[in-house]
Amino acid sequence: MSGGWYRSASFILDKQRNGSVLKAESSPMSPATMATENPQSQQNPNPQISLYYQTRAAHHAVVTSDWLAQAHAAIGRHPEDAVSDNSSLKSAGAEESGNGFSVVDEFNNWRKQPDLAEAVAAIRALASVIRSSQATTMMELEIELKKASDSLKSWDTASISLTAGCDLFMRYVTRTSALEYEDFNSAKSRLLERAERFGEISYKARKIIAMLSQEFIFDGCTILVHGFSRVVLEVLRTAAQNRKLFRVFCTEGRPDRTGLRLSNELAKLDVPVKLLIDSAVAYSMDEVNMVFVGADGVVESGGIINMMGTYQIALVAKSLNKPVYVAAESYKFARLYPLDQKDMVPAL
Amino acid sequence: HFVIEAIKTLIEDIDSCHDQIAQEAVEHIHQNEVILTFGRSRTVLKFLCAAKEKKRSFEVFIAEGAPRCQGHVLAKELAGHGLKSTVIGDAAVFAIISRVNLVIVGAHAVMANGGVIVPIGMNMVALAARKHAIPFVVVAGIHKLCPLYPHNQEVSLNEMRSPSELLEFGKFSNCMDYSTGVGASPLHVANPAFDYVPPELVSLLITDVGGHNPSYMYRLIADYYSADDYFLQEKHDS
Repeated sequence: MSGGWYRSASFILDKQRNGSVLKAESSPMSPATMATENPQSQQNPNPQISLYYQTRAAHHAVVTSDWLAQAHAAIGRHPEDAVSDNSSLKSAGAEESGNGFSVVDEFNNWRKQPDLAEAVAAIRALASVIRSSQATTMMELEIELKKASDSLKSWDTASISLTAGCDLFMRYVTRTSALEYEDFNSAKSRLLERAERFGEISYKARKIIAMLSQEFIFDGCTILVHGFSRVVLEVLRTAAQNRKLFRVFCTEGRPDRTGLRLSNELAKLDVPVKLLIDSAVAYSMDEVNMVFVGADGVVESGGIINMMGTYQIALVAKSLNKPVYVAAESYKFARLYPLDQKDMVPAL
Repeated sequence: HFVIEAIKTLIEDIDSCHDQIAQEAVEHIHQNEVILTFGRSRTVLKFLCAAKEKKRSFEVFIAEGAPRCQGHVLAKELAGHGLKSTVIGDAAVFAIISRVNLVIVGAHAVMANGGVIVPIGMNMVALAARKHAIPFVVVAGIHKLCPLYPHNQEVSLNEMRSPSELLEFGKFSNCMDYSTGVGASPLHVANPAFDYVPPELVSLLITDVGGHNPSYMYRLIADYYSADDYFLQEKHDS
């Protein structure tokens, strides 16, 4: 993954940064992000904020780490809070800004529910940050939220939906002009209300998507599915419960074997499933009526980021005039505009 | 009172939509054009007349639009306005289309994805236009916009009209025997009223709020419909 940087123009910038960073202390990546190798952390100038987030920060005027440090200094907080070690954030009960509340703990609590999407857990955790915040000014509250959001994002830098969810939450919650209230408490309660509402919407998103997609599945149709998406599973489960007669072709999804997991789940619902090897997609595309996939993220051009192989399947479907339907919750809409496949390297 | 006012405004909007759309005519019809239209639509009639008043010179081919053949009525009206019009049969559309440079039709409804529900036969015209790279322009008032997505267009959005428009029962009564008992009658008549034209075949949708791409329809729906109305069916508590 670290070798992929030289393919993008930003590698020149990173090489310059590397020179200065190697002198600075680079904290080891936590076991939670085992997918990234150690060399990656050396390329990341600020280990607390994921590299992906940093490259995008300048583009959409989200509060950057420099601003954060300045703001901290301005309100007289300890500047070292902003640049704490990654590993300390992961340890249980890590305190942030001295108020005894750890957003990562809250996040992990929410994640214990088996069916909950990561991004929804993050959104719920951020809502509870607001609830338990002891800030007395709006600026302080925003800074707390920002820090909490950053620490959640750095928990798993590879997850686009997590990052997108956190960004959207920040925008949704702080967008209201009612923040101009003189009374801080009413403003805070309004923020909290918006935060809870966003959490509710995100939580129910899967069910709503399943309900809206029922019209697309007609009796006797054949659906091709790729990758293990809980949204797609919910759609198919609801269709099966509504007694629709359909059959599913499931790609194997090597090397993760996601196809096997999905076909197991579908078999439990008594849906006729046929498992295909990934190469057999074009062979069977003739019999297929539609392709159903989930998404890890939805980018600004309207395209999606999904498991490897989805692009191939979409190309085959397009050439045979089969519709490709994507089921994605609205918090997955990310501020990304990849111009080609290589632009996805930071988010891999 | 607000409701009554709003309803009055809506009625006025619907009444004036033809004129608003006709104002766009000048931008789309230039000199020496050959236009093809299908069946009869009041919006198209006013559209073409407005261009005629602005001294554009063009001629019109009108496909008759069987079985109701409303195209004949439109031809008469256009000729009355002094436009050179030619009536052709529906089957001749493909043959004539290479001589045409613009297709303008009216619509029955505009769906959420930009596809249009049109009188039967227009899908064929749209395909012919796409094949010869001719713009297929649909004119429709904004009140025809529908928030539904056409899932199963052949079945759910179509209505079957009386077969007597196609065949006289008297001449065919020996084949079309509807009495029960003996067996199915060998001759059936299908008379669907509408066609669905997918958004890929539509070049431009001219509404009273201007001309747009079919892919822009979702924005107009968001403007004109509240979010609760997108899904016009009973909702079961899940």
